[in-house]
Amino acid sequence: MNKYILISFFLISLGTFAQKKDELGLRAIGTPHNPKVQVAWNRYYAYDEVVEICRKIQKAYPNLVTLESIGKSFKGKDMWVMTITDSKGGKAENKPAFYIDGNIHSNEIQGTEIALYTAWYLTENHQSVKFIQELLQEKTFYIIPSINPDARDEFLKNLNNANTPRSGVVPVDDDGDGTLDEDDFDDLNGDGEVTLMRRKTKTGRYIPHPEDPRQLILAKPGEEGMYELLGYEGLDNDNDGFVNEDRKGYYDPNRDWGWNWQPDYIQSGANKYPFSLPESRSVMEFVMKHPNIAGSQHYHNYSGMFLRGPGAEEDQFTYSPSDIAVYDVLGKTGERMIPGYKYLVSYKDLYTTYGGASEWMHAGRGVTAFVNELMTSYLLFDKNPDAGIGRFENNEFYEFDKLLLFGDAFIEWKPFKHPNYGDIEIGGFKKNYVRNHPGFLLEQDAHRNMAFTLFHAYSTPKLEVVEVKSKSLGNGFTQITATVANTRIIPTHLSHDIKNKINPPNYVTLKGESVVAGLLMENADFNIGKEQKGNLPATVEVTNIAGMGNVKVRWIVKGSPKNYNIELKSAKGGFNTHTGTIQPE
Amino acid sequence: MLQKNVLLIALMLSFYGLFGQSEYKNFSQLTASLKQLNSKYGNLAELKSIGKSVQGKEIWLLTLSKGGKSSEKPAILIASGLDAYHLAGVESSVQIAEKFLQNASKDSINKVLESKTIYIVPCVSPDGYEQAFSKLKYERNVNASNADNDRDGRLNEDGVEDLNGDALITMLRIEDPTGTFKTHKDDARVLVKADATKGEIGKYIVISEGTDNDKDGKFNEDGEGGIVMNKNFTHGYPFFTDGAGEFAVSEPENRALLDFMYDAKNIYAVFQFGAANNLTEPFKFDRAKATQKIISGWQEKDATINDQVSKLYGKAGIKDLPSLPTGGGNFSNWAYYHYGRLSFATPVWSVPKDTAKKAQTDNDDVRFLRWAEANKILNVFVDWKTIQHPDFPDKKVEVGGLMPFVKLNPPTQFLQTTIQKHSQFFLDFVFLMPSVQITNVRTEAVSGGLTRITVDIHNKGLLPTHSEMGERTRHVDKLKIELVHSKSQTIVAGRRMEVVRRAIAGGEKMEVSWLVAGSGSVQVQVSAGTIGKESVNVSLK
Repeated sequence: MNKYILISFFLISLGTFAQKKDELGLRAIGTPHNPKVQVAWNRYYAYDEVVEICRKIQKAYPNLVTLESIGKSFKGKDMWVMTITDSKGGKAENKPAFYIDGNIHSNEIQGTEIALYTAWYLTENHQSVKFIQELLQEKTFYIIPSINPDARDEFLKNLNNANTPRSGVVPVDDDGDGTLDEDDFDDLNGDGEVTLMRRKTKTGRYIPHPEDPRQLILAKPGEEGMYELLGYEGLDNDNDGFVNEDRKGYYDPNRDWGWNWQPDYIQSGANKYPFSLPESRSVMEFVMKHPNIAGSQHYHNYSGMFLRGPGAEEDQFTYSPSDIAVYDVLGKTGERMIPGYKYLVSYKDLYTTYGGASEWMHAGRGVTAFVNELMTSYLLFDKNPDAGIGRFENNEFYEFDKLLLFGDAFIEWKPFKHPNYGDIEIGGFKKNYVRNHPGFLLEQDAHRNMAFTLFHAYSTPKLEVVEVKSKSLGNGFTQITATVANTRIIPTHLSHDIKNKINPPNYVTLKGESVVAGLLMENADFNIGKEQKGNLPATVEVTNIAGMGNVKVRWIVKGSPKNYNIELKSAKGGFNTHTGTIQPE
Repeated sequence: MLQKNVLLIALMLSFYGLFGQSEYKNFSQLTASLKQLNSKYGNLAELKSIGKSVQGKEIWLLTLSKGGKSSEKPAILIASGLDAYHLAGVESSVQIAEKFLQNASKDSINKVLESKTIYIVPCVSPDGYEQAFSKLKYERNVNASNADNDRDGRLNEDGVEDLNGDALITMLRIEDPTGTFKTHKDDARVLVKADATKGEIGKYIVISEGTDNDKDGKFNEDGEGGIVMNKNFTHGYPFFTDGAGEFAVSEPENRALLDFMYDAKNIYAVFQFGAANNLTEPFKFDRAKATQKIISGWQEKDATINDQVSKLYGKAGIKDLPSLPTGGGNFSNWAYYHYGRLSFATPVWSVPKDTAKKAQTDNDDVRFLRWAEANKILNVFVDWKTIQHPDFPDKKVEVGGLMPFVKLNPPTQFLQTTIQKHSQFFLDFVFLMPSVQITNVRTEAVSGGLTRITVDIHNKGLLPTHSEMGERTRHVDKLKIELVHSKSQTIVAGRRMEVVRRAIAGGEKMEVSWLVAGSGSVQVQVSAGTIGKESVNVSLK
């Protein structure tokens, strides 16, 4: 009966395949031809839609995907994680895993779409791309599209500009007046957007750009100005002499993590203590329960950067030269994969941060971690902006809007009578421009960033028993020497991990033999090794197996076994058993 | 009638229960005591649980206050039991609460309870605390979280063992040519490190009582539990060291405490009873430490206050407490550096200093033993006795040493004097606290319907409105000056609401003025969590 169903299923699927081929034209290389889950990758999704896409992917690929909530946001939204792996290659928790999140900063939304694209791509290509098939056999992916679901919707649905809110939505008294979140933006002209306010005045220092009068630029010294800028659209709602000074939130969810946490006066945006926000707490609990996470990717925007830590200069000690060499391979390969993106060191090339998520991953958990700052002005005209012209002075975004978006990104300046400022004009870019990709650039950048992330995931440790040899010692004793190799570039333990014993060592166990001694060899050829006293001699503890490196482990056993059964247990290198025939030395 | 009698007996019992015993309370007795205080002094003492320990014991908060809303009055907070083996601190904080409540009708105390709130969290780490009352007694400072103390990938694989069957964990001394300890010249029971520079030779290896269960060459390095509370706060957090956990504030106990404290904007100063001391030895101002980016020294004005408060402490007759530096991750450092409050710590009690010159010794244990003997306190030392030890089959191994707890926690009757003095100290401290008033209210008619209002905001207290450190953090509620007016009145000059970020020193005043158009009256309000709220009505000219 079962066989019959299988055969008919096979026939049906063959039939549909043939039919589809006729109907659907030619498959574009690198893209699933007829995906089971149809998703448009040129738009942004609200929380409910994100969850719906996760569910669809899970339903379409139940053998590859599980979906579970890791906790609730401040407002009670479930935080969903997709676990993606081919269980034929072993249980998810027994494989080296790769963690992906997006959208920790509420206005940096496209990390969510890129994380979703990754889940979609992995599942839809599992059948057709061999690399993906092997990757899902070897690795597990934990993908949390948004680790900040409340404020994702806050950005999408409420009044904001491109830079707000960075914060989540837990109310905070920003101005210290004893009331919470009492002076937010106001949509004065009722167009559903928060843009800039400007006022015509002789004392103003701004003038319209000669080539595009929509843009304001600073007048040259000696030149008369025309406008002054009055900040984003709003009122002094609480009548304290300040406009928009206590908006929803304000704290920085990416300063709430457990490595080198510093308080608000050192690290602005810090909350009360590490993981004092419900969202970061849930992620922390998930990460603590999944020590198999070996690499992580955190999607932010903006600027086209692959950032590694440390976040602060004084944490340089958490990166040894050998660790940096690994990051360098990943980052420099990334630079080739995504034109316009630069591999940089967070504290040195950007600014100092304390208590960031990726720093906690690296220095707090021993995980290689990258922050990708998505979108860059390079993508506008595929060239670097003119040297010396900053992100806000150059008019490329205006030109791009005019030439390629036909003015869709800009709200024209229009007069308004403000209760405090009098006659003003309101106008400027919409919130979804500059930091977030225009639709047609999103799919490409999603793919390129995913490819970088998959390269990182591929580079997490892969442990193999490459050689097992035996030599008789007489008196019924045999020495068995196994070579265990890591065939990828990331070590099982980063040096900061080794120093602080963040993760347990690797355990190499010879099963089913009567083991009298176990040794970790320094030089197997000359019998120099360290006997492991105390623990059961069959299990040898190995502090680290370097990237592309190997270790030799030796056991003295009674008898002369012909076959081996060796169990490898490594937090970040997987848990599995290797069997084979022992070769004489 | 019968019921009344029962009540009376219960009261009497509670009286003796609270004051008659020389023994410390286990956690359930402690809970009962707190509940009794709550039921006996319901209008003055509120008992609330702010969270639960790993094993589900309540983290109790006792709030002393009379009338009004306790959360709106300036407060001090006393916390103990963070160093879980420091029973004396737990006992003292509860007894200080009792003293306040018993004497609540006295004028001085009545005034304090009417105008201020005293928060007491007597036992922050109850799971560790309970070890003193368990079958096997040892000085445990960890909670009940599962922690791989030696970070070897195995959990709780090598704890202590009671090898001589006395239900106490003391020490082992093993005669060994490589030993680094020798007996002390003043008391042969006490062991000290041999000083090679003085030509001394060691005789003993000294370790805690137990065996090397996991045969890794280390003894008792990974027992039951847990996290050391005073290593698990955010300032100077000693990452990945024994007992520090995986990250700061990882435990339910200290999270509960911090969540409560961050909400309690009215807490002005924080006191810890435990193994730390900046009350008899105030922090000295160190410009380099106070001004570096990651601040690790008290700010200049705060160091002066520490000195001032230390003098007050001395005036209450408390002296001779040992110098106990606060290590990384300590609660008291968090309270100052990250919570921005004046923060003080004291061990409450210690062995009195040697009085007679000839009796002087350089060793704390010897001093303690002499004091115990002089005060007829028995059962403080387990005399060295030879045992068979499986890890040292051919060696002479002896079990013995000071009994756990005895050195820091004397029979409770010896705490009475210091508790009395501390109660006085807290009263004295509360009287120094800031008191902000609106005085010298002046109004001038500027011209038709325009009034200039000028007031002095005056801190009548002897301490500043908050610490200098607190100026930096948003977690310290700042002084707000507000002019409340009706719609028909407008402020022509001046702010409706001003938030003053710097502290106003004791005795200092600041002048504020407004120009107001309109008639009738307005109200000037000043408020801040750490000082409460004041207001005056002002008639417009």
